[in-house]
Amino acid sequence: MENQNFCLGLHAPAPDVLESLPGLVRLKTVSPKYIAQAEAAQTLARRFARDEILPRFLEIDAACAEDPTHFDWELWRQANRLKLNIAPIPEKMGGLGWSALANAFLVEELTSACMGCASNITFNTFGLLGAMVECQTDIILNIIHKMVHAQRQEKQLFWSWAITEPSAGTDVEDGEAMAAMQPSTEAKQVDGGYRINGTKCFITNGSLADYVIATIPADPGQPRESMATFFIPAESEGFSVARVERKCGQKASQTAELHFKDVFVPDENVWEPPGRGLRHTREILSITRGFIGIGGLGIARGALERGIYFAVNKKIGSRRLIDEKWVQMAFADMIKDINSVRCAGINFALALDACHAWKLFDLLPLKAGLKVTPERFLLSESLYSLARSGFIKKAGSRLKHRLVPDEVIENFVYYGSMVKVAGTDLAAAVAGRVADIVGIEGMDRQYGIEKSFRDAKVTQIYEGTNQANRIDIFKHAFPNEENLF
Amino acid sequence: METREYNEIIAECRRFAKKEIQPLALDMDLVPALETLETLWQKSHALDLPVLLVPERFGGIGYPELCAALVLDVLASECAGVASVFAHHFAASVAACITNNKKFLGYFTGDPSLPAAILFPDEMGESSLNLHKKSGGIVISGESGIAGNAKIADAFFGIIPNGALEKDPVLVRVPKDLPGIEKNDPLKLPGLKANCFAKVRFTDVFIEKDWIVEGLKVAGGLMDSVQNAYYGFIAAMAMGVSRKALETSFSYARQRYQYGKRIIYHQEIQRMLGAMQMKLGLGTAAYMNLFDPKKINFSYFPADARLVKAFCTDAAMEVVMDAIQIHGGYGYMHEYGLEKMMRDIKILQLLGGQNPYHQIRVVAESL
Repeated sequence: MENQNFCLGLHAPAPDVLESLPGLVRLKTVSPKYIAQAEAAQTLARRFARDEILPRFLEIDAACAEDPTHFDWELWRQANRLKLNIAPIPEKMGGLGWSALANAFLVEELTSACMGCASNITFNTFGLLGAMVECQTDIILNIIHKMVHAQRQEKQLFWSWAITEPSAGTDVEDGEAMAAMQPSTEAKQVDGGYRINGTKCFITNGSLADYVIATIPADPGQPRESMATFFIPAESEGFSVARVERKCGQKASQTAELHFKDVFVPDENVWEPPGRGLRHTREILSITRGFIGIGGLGIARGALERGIYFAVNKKIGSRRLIDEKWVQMAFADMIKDINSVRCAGINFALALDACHAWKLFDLLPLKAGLKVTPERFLLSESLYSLARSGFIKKAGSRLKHRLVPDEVIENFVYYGSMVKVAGTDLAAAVAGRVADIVGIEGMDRQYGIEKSFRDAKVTQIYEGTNQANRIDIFKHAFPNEENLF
Repeated sequence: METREYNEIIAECRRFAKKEIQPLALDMDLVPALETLETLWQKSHALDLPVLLVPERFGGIGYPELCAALVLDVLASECAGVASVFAHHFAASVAACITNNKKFLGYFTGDPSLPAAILFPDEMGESSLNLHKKSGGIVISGESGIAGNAKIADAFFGIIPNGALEKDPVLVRVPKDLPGIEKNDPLKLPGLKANCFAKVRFTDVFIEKDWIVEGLKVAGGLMDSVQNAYYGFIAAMAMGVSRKALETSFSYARQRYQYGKRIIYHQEIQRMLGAMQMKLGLGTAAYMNLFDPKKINFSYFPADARLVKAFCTDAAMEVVMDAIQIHGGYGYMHEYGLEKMMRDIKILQLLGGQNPYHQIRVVAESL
């Protein structure tokens, strides 16, 4: 099947940020640079997805089906050269300085080509996000330092966020559930730090990680009150990767079971002390859930575009499949749903820029500081030692909490959960429906539609099952449900 | 056939499926192996599955199509891919039984070492199979639609709707290894991987006289009779998969704790399980009604096999999606077998034509 004139989605000639979201035209008049950056991000991401991911994603999927530990380093290196894996880091410090809006377009474009490959590239910002929670200046600088250096030296660097346990999936993401959970991990306080034991499962990039950020209770009898966040280098003694899972889809992205046997974590690597771990998880979820929703949107879009491509080329007698009215109706319905979710997802990204973590990058003093400070000083040891001073650390943390207080975090869990459920349900529905249109021939792996179908399902499960997300939505919408009437 | 007999064969097939199919199902999903399938086929002779539908007077055991559907339901609960091999063989048997022709049916009672494949002129007009006279003989030419059992089949049973030989449909039986038969590359599908789906191309393949049955004036048409049975079989397999998905989900929900209690005590999980049970119950009733020889002839909208297939496979997809959701991350991992069910059901939804298209055709043809 060849059709040189196919010009949808990833094959579209120009960025279509404003065409697909015309409301942003108004914003462009106020913040032309902001929108221009989003357009540039879409263009770059689209080109990367089209030229680098599309020619290889089926091959990568097949190789990973054969061997779940296979990883396509070449693709990762190409993304690394373009800094797509450190996009949110300020430009002056070596990143791309992309807003949440620009990152949303990055995620949508890459996931529309391949969710697994996109995870490998974009989930690497977990390290940065995790570090930003308490905004301890030394931790943040250290992380940025590591990421930028690795990027420059084309060195592999992976962060992994270990939350789920064999006995606790939903339980580790919700306060009420956490209070009743039966932990599979434990962090025992010892001289100078903690000793960690136990198992974490279904950990994205866990097998590749250089550093693992794990939430583990100090007292398994009181998990909620004692949950803490630990920063654990993978080279720590006692840390091991038990296995890499054989999954249904998103095979390019590795999912691992991690074992901790008497792993020592010194006090300086305790990112959140006992009792603050849940908040740390919630803060990360307040950002990541929305992006998973946007990933779902990308999967849906990819499935739709592949379906349209097939239907345009598929002949039934003298007609094409796309000439069938029932096919047109179904596609129209999917375009409508995809566009609705895109509006929700982009609104979420705009809100992240306005009120959440990205707001920190936008602070006038920080921006001015970055502007006048020489680049080499930004990543130097002297700035790092300055950042380690108690006063600066405290000031950073206090500023962060003033700008992004706990209520904001919970608001974003709420918004993010809605985008997550909408986007991931959309992914599963659209991928399934496209398959129903293209029929058995269209499910041949060469068309990529069957892969979209396989990739979609797990998005409804990870980052909190959609049921857990719905619980969050209801609880937030009606905090005092008994007082409703 | 009495209820007791149905129950006996179901129990026997369940033992067979548990003992012979279940241990192989996940491996066959990763690396489909023809030899494994052949061994399973051989073993199924002990249950008379290859001749299940062939009338006693022709050496079979002459069970009704409903029985075949129930057998498929049971087999599919362990592996829909393996069940689909039997389903295609059963559909070929249905076609052969219609001929009432000993020579023709002899294939089945001659203890075929491999199952048969059925070639439909498919709904989307893909098949170009035709018969014509050449050099004093009859030849078959053209390409079939996508057919199950394409690789393993010992013989192809093709329905030629408007044979050049006469007006009525013609059934032709073609042994697998004749010169001029070429199997296209099999499709790389995400589901029913134990089976192999491909188009089969015939280039002037000479057909012996005994291999053709003409003048088949079947009530409702030869093709409809076979296709209806085939749709019913697909529906039965979808329900078999759903049955297993529901059983597995029930037992998982009884063990798994979240929010301090077993998840089966969460209302949302109960709603999901209830919805699954509802779809399974209705789907099973629908396919059984389709095959029930004593069925009441409702004056409005009689059961249409295409719609039963559409309903059952769509319902099954919802069931397995919920089953995976209840299992959380475990549902997405290969070793738990649930994600395989989702992939298998997707292909059952598409076998024999797209479901939305069937819904349209049922109405369009009534006009």
